[in-house]
Amino acid sequence: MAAFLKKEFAMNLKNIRKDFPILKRKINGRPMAYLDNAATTQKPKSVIEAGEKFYENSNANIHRGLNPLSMEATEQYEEAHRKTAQFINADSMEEIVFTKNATESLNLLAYSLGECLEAGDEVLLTKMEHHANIVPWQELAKRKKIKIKYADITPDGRLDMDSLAGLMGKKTKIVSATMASNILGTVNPAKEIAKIGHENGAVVILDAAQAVPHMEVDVKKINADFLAFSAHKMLGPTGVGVLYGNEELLEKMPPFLTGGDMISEVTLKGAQWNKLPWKFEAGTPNIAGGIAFSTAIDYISKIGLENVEAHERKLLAKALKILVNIKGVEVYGPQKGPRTGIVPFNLKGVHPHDVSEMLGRNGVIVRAGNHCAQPLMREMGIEGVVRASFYIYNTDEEIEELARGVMRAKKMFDA
Amino acid sequence: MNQELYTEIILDLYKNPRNRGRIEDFDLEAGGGNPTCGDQVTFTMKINSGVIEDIKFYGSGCAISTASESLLSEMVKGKKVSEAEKITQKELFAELGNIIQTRIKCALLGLEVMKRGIAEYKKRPAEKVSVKGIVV
Repeated sequence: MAAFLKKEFAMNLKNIRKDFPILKRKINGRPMAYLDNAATTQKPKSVIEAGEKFYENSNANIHRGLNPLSMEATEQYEEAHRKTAQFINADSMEEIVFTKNATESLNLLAYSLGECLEAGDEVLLTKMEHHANIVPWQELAKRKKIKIKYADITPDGRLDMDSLAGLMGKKTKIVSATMASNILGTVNPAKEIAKIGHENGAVVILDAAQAVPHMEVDVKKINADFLAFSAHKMLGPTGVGVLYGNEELLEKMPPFLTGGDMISEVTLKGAQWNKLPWKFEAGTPNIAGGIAFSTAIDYISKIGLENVEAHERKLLAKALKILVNIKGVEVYGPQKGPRTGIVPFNLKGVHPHDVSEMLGRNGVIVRAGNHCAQPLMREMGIEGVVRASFYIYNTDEEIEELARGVMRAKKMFDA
Repeated sequence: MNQELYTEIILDLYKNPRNRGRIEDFDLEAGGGNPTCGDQVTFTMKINSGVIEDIKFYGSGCAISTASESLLSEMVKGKKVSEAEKITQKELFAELGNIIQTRIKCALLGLEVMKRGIAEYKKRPAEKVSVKGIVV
């Protein structure tokens, strides 16, 4: 069955590309090769239209009284929560909070869970984190006088599990780690991280922004307490993020933002919180965005995550093979173990921004710089990298165009 | 098309940067960067009777910012501080060549850092002045 699907996928790549209007555009008269999917993915027509359709047909505020239009909007928005729950095998909608993005999901945790910490408590992170999973905890550390520890990474860019286990202790109250690195593509052993964390009595959080779009993520199998990810990195609109949370913990936690829709009763003396997940969704949310996101989930589900994974693996292998053979190119990331379709590299003697500029002028869109992970860059002893990252609509030809662009930069700079 | 940006002047200044390094007993040190792209530069200067007698720069950045800093160091060496302070974008680009809109910020990083450093130096010219962390 699986083999059959892969074959079908290969045949369908052309059709898939047709679903994404932007992939038709040209840059400087050349076909665009969009290889910056770790930053944000492109959107299929169905997602773009779902947002429009909502505004044209069903626009109303949600949870606002018993008028038919509001009920329709509410039903669609709640269905988006249910679909998200199903997608990551969560038990119910109660465990799915929509936020603005993964960053807000992590901030929500740092504020709300953080309220329960006391001076001297420890939060364990890793040296592989995106700034979104560092800065909120550093700010919490200032407010609550807690301590942050960072698990090491191995020289080839994997999480050092011995270091992680070694730093865990009685004072460790929270472990928050990336499930897949936004720079190296390293896929961390999420299940093991959760197990070690729980054995030490800590709450376990996974930054899954670079994982959920690219592989099957089953929250029951992984057994972490919280997962944060963003819709826009998985074909959905910007402005929608997800926080999956263990229902029991979400019930106990104080709210993050307060105001309308997150309360059940307000008196002049105080308020009682609404039921989950609305307790954590104060004010009017991004209703159209949430609904459009559910269409993105439909799209990915139709293709099948195993096909997404297989396709990325194929592109990754090709890119690694071609780039490694260009003299002066250094490719980073783990040589063994699972990784997503991300290729970080440098061309000796040429600054990453200049490589990116040269590629961009020929239609190849990549990211260059420190990628919101300065501590990781320092750990690796480099100032920045060029990052090419793939998704379901990328082709072999685009990888070849990337390599040609690198060759052009090499020639231009005589590198 | 690419030649518009990576001109011979820029490539030469980037590959063979002038005045690269650091003066240990500086009179003015001005360092900063552009957090959006991560480029960093630090100028150190030896100033005597209001004249920039020597200047060196170091840091990390793209070809455009490095070339621009390299050129700027040549432009101000031997000049009065008061003259260096008045160098405009137009004057810099007249020598560097035109820079496309999207990379102007790269080309202006050094000029901005140097100007802000000089502004501090002018407040207390008798002291050894070090300004770090200038955000451009």
